[in-house]
Amino acid sequence: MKKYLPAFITGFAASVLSIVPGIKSFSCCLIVPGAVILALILDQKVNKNFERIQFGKAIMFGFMTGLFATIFITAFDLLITFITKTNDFVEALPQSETLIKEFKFGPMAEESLKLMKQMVKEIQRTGFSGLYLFILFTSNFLTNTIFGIIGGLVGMGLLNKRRIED
Amino acid sequence: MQSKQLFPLKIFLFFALLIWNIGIFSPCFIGKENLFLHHLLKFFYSPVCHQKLERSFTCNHLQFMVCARCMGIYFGALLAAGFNLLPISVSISKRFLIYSAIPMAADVIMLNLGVYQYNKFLSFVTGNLFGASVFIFIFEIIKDYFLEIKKETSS
Repeated sequence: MKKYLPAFITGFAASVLSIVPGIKSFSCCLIVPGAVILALILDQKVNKNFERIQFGKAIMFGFMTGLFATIFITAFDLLITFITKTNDFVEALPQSETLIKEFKFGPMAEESLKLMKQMVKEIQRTGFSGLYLFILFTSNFLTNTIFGIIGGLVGMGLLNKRRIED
Repeated sequence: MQSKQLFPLKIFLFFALLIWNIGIFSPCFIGKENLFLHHLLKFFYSPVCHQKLERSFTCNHLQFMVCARCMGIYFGALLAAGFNLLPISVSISKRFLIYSAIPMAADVIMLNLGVYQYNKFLSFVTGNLFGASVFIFIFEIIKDYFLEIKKETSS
């Protein structure tokens, strides 16, 4: 765990940034890769180890930062949903309903809508939905770890290049 | 020899990007009846894009998974990955990467200043250029790493 403390710290910072509405829509997929690069720099400074960063280490740091960011993002989202009893998914449902009515999508779409309405009802009533939690965690986990690994590779390249130049 | 060693990695990156792009273009082939799957996929892509309806292309009356700019970035990366499979070596500098971001940044700034209205095609094209450059830059980093290791082991 101590080995991945920089990833833990920057993963937490990334999750805080990614729930700020303005920054969230602006940065898209820049927050997590940026957090991984910062984690690699922190790791070098803390351990005073300026050796070449290995491929495996860069990938592992990217993965771990993405994982920590996912855990915190999911926790924050759950907490906000629990308090406010609403979220982006709940707010987007009326738009889908209008679409279905407007373009006559058919009976299967109606069934899909029923399932989504059930999820929304659960959130509005108790502030929590198991299915929502599963989808939220899975989607965040996949995207954050992918972009985390990309960030790790970019960080590895930049820091190794800087080492050669020094 | 060098390109032969890196070919599996090139193939992996190409297919990874292909799958990612298929997800983005899914409204064209999942059919408008399967709305739950559409929403599930949209939710999956939500951490990487704001997904505003007015800034996204549509197919079968369904919005693509990401906005026009993000779609341009990912599609540009896919094109670059496909081009990368050819036995041609393309490399870009850090400076070129910054230059390639200028059209996209200019589009964002002018849009926020209200110089002109949002244009999906302009966002897509400027995103395309940036996405392709980012892919080549990242691939270059991976390639350099392997070359450095090879040099060290042979010396």
